Amino acid sequence: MNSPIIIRNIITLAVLSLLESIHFLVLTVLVVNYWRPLKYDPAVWNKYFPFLQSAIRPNHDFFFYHWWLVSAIAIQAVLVWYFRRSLQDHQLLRRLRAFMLNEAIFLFLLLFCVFKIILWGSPSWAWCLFYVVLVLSWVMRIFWPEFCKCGTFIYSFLQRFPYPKLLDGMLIVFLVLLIYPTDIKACLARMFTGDYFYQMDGFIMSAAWAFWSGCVMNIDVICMYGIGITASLSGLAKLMGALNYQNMLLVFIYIAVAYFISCYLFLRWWLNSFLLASIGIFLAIKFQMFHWGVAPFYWNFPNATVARYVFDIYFLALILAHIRSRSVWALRGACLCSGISLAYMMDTGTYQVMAFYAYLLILFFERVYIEKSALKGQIPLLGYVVGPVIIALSILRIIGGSTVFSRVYWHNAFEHVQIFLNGMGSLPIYQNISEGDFFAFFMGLFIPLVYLFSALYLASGYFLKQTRRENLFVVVLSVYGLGLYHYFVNRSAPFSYHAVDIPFVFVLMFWARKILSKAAPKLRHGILMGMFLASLGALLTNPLFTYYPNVFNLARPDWIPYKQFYSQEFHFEKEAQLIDSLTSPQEAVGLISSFDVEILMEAKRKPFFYYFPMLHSHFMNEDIFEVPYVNTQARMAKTLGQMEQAKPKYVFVEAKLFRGLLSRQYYEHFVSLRILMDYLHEHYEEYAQGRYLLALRRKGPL
Amino acid sequence: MNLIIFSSILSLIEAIQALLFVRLWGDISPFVTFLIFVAFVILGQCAALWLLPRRWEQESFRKSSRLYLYVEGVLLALLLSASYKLVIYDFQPQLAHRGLIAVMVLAVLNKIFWKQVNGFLILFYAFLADPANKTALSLLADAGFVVFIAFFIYVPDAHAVMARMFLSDDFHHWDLFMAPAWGYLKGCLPYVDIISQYGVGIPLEMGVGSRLLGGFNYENLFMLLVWVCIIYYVAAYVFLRSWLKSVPLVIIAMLIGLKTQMFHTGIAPFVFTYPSCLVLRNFWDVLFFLCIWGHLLTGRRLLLWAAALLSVLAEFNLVDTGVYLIGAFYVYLILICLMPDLRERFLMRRWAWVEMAGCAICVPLGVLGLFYAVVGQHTFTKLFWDNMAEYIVYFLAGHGTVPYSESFHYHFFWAAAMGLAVPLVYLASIMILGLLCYWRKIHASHVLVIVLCFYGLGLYHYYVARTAVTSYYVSGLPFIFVVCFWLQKCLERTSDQVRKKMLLSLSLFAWFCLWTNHQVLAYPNIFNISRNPMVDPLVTLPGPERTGYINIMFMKYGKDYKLPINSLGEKDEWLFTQKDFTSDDELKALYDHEFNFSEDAQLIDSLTGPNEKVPVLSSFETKMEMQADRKPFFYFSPFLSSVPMRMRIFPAEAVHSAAYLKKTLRQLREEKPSYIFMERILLSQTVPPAYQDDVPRLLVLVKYIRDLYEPFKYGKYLVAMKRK
Repeated sequence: MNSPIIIRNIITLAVLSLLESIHFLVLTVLVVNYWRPLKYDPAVWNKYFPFLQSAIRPNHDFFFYHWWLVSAIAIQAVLVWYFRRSLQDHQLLRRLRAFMLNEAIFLFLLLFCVFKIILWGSPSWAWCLFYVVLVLSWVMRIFWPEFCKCGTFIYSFLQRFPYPKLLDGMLIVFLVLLIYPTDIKACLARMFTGDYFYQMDGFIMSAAWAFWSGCVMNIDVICMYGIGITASLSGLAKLMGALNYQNMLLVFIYIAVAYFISCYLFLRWWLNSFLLASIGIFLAIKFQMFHWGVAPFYWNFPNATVARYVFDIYFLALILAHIRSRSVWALRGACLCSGISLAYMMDTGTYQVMAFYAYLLILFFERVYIEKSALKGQIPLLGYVVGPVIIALSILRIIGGSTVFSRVYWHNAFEHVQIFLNGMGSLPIYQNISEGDFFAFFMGLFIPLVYLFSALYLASGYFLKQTRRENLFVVVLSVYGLGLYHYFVNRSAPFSYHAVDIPFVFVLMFWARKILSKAAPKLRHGILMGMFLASLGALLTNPLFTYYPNVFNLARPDWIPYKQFYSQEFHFEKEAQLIDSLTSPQEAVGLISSFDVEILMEAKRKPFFYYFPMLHSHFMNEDIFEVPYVNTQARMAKTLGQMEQAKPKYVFVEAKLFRGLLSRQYYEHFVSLRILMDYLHEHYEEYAQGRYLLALRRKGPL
Repeated sequence: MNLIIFSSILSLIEAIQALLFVRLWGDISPFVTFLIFVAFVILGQCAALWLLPRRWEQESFRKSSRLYLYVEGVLLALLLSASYKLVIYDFQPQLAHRGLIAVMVLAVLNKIFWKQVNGFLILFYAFLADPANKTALSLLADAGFVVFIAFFIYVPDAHAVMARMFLSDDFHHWDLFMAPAWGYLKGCLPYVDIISQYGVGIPLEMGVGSRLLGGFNYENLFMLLVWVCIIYYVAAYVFLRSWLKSVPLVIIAMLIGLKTQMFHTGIAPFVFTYPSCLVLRNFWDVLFFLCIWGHLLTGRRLLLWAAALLSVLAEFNLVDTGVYLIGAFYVYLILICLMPDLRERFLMRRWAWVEMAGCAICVPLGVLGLFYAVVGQHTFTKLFWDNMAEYIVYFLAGHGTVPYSESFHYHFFWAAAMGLAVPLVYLASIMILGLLCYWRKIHASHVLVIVLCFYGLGLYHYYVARTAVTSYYVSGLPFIFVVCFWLQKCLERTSDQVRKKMLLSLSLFAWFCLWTNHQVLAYPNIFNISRNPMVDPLVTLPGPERTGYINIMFMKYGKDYKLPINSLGEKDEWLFTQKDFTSDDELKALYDHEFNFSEDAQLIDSLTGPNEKVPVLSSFETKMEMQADRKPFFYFSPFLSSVPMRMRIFPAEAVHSAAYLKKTLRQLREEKPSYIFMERILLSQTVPPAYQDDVPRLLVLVKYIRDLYEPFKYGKYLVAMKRK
């Protein structure tokens, strides 16, 4: 081929024609479906036998196809005729570039709306957006010069925005509005109807209630996620008035708000760009809060919220501060922070400590090999090595008392970790491909590869004096990310990597900045603006987000029936009265029932059983039952041993369980239920009854 | 590439390889695996940075390292691919496991003997790239690839293939072709005496072609179709070679074409199970484009007339693809008139315009002429055209169509994107090349691509109407050709070295894609690694229930759906699965035994005259009529979808609408045949209630027969019903 100018111009016009023709097609589909909506013609339908009638799918596809072909060629002809004198013009592409870019963006938005409409059952927000985009796209065509002027004005205004701090402030307010649910009752109702507070009870509420009712953690009652998190979060809930589900949920929400605001401020400080920081925070919120692993509702899974690793952002900020300033206070702060994290939650704390050690190692090599310091001079670094452990143990001692230094405590603390490592509940990393979830699988592989590559490249680059010292921060970040990634390694459920991929977003933002720094300023700004709008759009149009009960609440579902149901079903006054009437306030109460945590909280009694909660709650009137916690023979033996040893006078049990009113399959499947009920039948007899509970009294002399 | 990037990427590659080694030899917990991986990466990086910096300064070392990285990357891709197959085929992982071991051995050998491998690769590439070897290599590649196509498509054991087809879908799709072909050979006229769903010519071509191979039967027809495919793909190779020239590019196009057209999931287990999905649909198109290309190059008028003739043959062969090819021919004629270069070349002669008009007119006339040759005066009757349009009308009314949005509903986003990309590429090509040709900015021979694109847009109707996941594969060959054309144009802008390397890499990738496709591995050609490709779980496709395809459609019927006894008066249904066969010979023996209706053929023979039309209402009616050497009676043949004769259920209805039943009953009322041969199971007095919904029209027909006819004589499966 020769004559590159005309070829380029013709290609430009062809692309423009195709864009316009698809625009036109979308409009045609809209108009035709409005004027001649698809309907089943009885005359055609009745010609077919009943079993074939379902195969009749009338559609306008042929018409649309032909229309599209004809319109594309016609538009091309018109464009060529219109630009016939400019086909040799060097500037044609330049003149059309902005218009085409806008056309492409509008087309993308239109198709995106169509996609959402088809996929998610015509949500009203998608239709609304569709019409807005459609109207805007036609306004743009008609008033293109004015549109350009307006766009230029806005662009230059944004570029020279006189109050950059105001932008930060606006974004922080936006983040609060984004995360904070306006209807807490609806959230609770959704959690209650979604999983019966199963995750909430298992993660925090049971241990929190046990802790504040005077049980010794990991001695009297199991504490799966760490004393630190239990004591601190429940303490905050108590500070808000009382330990209950609503306050605990509010604590999680406030933590998330504070965490993401901190993330934004950190990104802003680190990357020194409003746009990059905003993109990073939008992606982080989208990935962390609105991924399918936490469907249908983020707060149903408190163990997948940022409360797991709430201190990491401050730890990372301190590391960055030390890298930038070499301030010894920053290093001490990071040491303290990692120690607090270790006490707060064992696994995420460990990863922070590992990241801290990685940083210490880098410092050591830097001083020895680059700065040529004497080895002896590095001995103080050992203090930082033991620092986090000492801090963590001190905190645990303050919260947990002297039992923290007992062997039993640590054995019990790691009991469920051992079960987990044995493979209980784990999913192989290739699980996603065997289920055809290729995207999830490749993302799962991609994340550690990015971490490793970043760490290798930047660390090597620094020691070979090819990259800046500040990039060492990404090495620490990657090491921390690799640690958090263990969450996905053992349990490779689709999208579960999103629960722990905030460091990944940060690393991506770092690379984005690095790559974009090579581009011309105008192009860089354009790309960043595009990325900003795309990430914001991706967040706001995420199906989970549209159902999230914040001020935006795009899907506007009706939560009233849920709230009514929650109010009716989630109070156990009679059960609490029954327990209260038969036990003293200091007594530990043996309760085998759904919602045992709430019932004991209402009765103000501490739990008797070590494995608390014992059951996976279900609505009291449902014929469903699960025993997720007493899942090993050792645990069963321990539970029976507790009863045999303490011989409690009364045990409270859900009537349907004791009286064998459940389907037989449950008794056959859940051996632990059968054993428990056999034991109770052998040693206890019915004594009194509440609404759902039976009070069983021990047979024979006590 | 600097040392840090090189060592980082290499460390990651080597660590993943090491990880796969470790995982292969022991069931290690995910945590440990992960830690090993991280440790390998860090150690690898440290080692590289420790050992390499000085040597990295040498240009030769950097070159060799880059090649090493490339080879290791390829080996890793192969390892990951084998691991992927191991996961996907966890129920029959033998083949993937062997592949994984083989690649692992290669990976180890590559590391140990890298010096030698490096030397060999450099030598090999130099040999390939040496201009002095070009002619010989091209000749060798041409001959070799044509032979490869023949061996690749050819099926040595047609008998075994027919056996599996019989036992997997009871020739359901085949009989839609066999019945009209048999009808034609016995003197029935398509669309007059017997329906032909796909066109006027296909029954004739199949019937006559099969006879030429030794007689009209299932196996000969199968071999005919195999040869049709071989000839088509060889012709496609010749066409692409003469058009695109580049041997590696043409081989890439052919390999992708073979893979997408013959080995996609929509035609599992075997492309020949569905004759309508074979290149038989569009057999004449490749020759047509060869003629167009020849005409563009040489200007020989004969080639234009040949193209016109081929489009006529295409229409005669199959209605829809014929229309598209005729459309493409008219587009070509229009382009000759529009494009200044072509106008100057072809229309400057005296009478040239008249000749063009003649070409245009001769196409419909030719089609009519061929129709007339087959159906005679009926060509000019309304009935003939109504019958021909019957299926199209149903289709346009929405019967069997799938809307475009369906792909999104089922989250088939790749299919949806491909479905959109195909016409976009066609349209963009038409727009760009059309204008460039018009303004003489490129050579007028590029008009071929425009014609190809128009034809592709025509074929794309298949996908528009039926947007099933794999529908675009069926008519995807022109798309592949056009994409390869653009690939060539892109590669022309690169240096000779880069182009050669790119083509070599793409060609290796195409071979890899072809040979790692399970359908290719299961295909019973001479390359098949099993001696029993029909039943050996090492190669056979697992099927939706992972039990293979044998009798898969009939396992779903429960007790409530079944009658007490079958046509033989027995309870045993012989519903075997793939596991019941240890060799293809067993499969063939069962096929020979079960697909023989000589007793029923004798029954028909004894009660009807040789020229009489025989109404048979049974599974495998076509085969019975063939054995009895009688012509079919019903216009809608086959009237039923066959089920195994020993099953205790009624055959399913193959008719679609109430109009079909009316027509069949009218035939019986008007012609009043003395005997109707009916499957004995249809004499059952009571049937399960579900039959009222599933086979209501069959029940009406059976009632009609039983009211007017009575059992007269019994064969093995059939009963001769005599008019009262």
